[in-house]
Amino acid sequence: MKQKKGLIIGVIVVLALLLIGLFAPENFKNTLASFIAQDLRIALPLAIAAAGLVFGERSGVLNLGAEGMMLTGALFTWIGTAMFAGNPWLGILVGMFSSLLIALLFGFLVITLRSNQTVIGVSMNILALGLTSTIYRVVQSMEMKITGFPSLSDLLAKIPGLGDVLTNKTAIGTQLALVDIPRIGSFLDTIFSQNIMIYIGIILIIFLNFVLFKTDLGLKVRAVGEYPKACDTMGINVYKIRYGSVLFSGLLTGLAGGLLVLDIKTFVENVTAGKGFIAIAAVIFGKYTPIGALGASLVFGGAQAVQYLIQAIGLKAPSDLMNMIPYIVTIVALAGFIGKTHVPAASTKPYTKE
Amino acid sequence: MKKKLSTGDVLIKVLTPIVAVGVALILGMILIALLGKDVGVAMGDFFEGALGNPIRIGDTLSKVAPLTFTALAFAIASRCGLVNIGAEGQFYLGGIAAGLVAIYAPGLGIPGIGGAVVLLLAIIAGFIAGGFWGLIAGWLKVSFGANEVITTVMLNYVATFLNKYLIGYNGPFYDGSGNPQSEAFKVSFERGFLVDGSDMTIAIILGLLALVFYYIFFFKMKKGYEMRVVGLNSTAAEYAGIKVKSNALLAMFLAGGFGGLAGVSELLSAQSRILPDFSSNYGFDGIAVALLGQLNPLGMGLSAVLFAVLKSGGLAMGNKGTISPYIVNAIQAFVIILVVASVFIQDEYTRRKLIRQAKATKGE
Repeated sequence: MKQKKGLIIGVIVVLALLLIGLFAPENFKNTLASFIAQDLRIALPLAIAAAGLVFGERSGVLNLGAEGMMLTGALFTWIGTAMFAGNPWLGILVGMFSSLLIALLFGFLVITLRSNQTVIGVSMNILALGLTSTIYRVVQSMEMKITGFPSLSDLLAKIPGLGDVLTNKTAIGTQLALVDIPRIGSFLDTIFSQNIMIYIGIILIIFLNFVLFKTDLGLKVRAVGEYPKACDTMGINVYKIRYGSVLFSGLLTGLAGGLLVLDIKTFVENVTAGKGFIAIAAVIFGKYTPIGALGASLVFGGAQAVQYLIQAIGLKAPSDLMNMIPYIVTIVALAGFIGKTHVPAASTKPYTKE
Repeated sequence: MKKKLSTGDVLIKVLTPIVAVGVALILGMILIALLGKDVGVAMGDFFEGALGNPIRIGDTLSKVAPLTFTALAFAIASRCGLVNIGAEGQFYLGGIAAGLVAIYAPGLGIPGIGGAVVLLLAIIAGFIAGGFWGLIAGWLKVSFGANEVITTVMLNYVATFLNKYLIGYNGPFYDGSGNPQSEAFKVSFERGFLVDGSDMTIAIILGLLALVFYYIFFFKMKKGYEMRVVGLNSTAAEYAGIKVKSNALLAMFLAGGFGGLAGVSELLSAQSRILPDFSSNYGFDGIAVALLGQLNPLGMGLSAVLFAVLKSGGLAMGNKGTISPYIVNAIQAFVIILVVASVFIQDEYTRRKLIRQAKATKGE
């Protein structure tokens, strides 16, 4: 039933886009297409982080250190990319490794030592802010050449033989061959000619949704978050599942931080600016499912992309007030939808084996 | 009300924070060394900057008041079972409100509004504005169940941007100077309190009074007792006829109010107008102060002094270019982690003691 609802929403969105693409005036189409592109770009790191956090949450660990892990991943992706001559793939691996270490410390404190998850989570953020800003000031002067990930069109163009069929080389760069379709072509090109990680990310999130709800491992994760004692009796190692989930959420939040840095192509102190917390809100708003979190991230991303939309329409609004929007939308989403979701029963409760 | 503590228990309670701070400082030094900096030089800058001469000591102590207030903002909510990470935003709201009173109230020409009265009004305005900001998170929690950690963090960002807007080029309180800032305060706390030439003001006495209030409220008054019951076990509180929701709301208002007072004391002591980002992280420092002080009034007072030294010394290292002042955040985090993790050691100590006792009784 739930999946059907998702499918229906998806079909409606696609149909609406097609109709708009075919019949709406050119101006409107351009604005909308760039809004969607911005939304996807902003939502990607949020959705990736949230998908990882879903696993932690489902296993009963509320990872409020997500912000710090994201920040750590961001700095070390930046350093790693510079170390590997601008290679974003190797750079982001360095970033993910660094956030994994923070997640390991977090996991040790809240799972093994059974410390208060909220306080430890908050301290992870303070730690990460301190460490990253201190290290950043030391390495600041390094030569940093960051290229970011290739776009879909750039990547398709490199396929031997098919490259020329799938893409067009124009004055403004490589475009998808879709662009030749009358009326709707350039509209679709703006939406689909994205950073390749967006497609990888969406596929990953769908895959994670499958793992969580259709596999044995996913069932174990969910069971441990609901009734750890029963799991223990059944021979499931609660600590192992929780460590695994926390480390995985650390990996993905680090990936998210890396994506953020590779997107804006620079690092600044506290570059995440609350995005880790917004990702946690996306987990709740998305009803603790990876795909739901993706949807929630698109809503939050849209709240930020509205700024570009307003600029595009030519409205003048103070940027400081515009900057508040994503945070306010997060608060409203959190307040408006929280009662309608089921929080894992063992959330934030440490488990003691007897 | 307290059960008898054995000497071992007391020793552990007192030693834990001391050991935690010691270990955290050593970790900080290791970090400085790992980054290829001279630890000796860094430490020299640190102590010279924080405690080098009487004026520096006074400047350092001037940070005790805002740190005490933000610690209380965390501690009051904590006593009621809530986690207030929003002291940073409450600091901004309190600072803005008090700052506006200090700028505009003297010019209103109302008879009887002199320096001291304006200051009193500024303090009240700061408390209410901060309290209101805390109350939003409290209301979202009790009415909708929204996690207060996330909402308070979000409100921190909203407050920062609100401040930037208000004194920014398009804002209503911009002074037209070409820099984003408000007009200068016409009234502020008198500097040089206790130490001539330093930033110290009477605010430190206000901080002390706030700690006394905290003690009386939670340990001598019915309302504070109720709040603590809610914090320890909200279900039990409900059965005992204690109104959980209204207690949570009051706790968040008071917590926010003290967060606001932190902004008031910093702004009207050490600064002369409202600037963007005027907090320099006081809201988060308060969390560490409260946790290191184990939510105990005396403990929080002492750890506020310690963190004032850390903050002052850290800024001095930053100004000299030895190392980023953010290193202090890392040290703070080490302190929190060590203090919180030590609960495990204390629990283990108690558990083993009980096992020993049980074995001894069996053996008899």
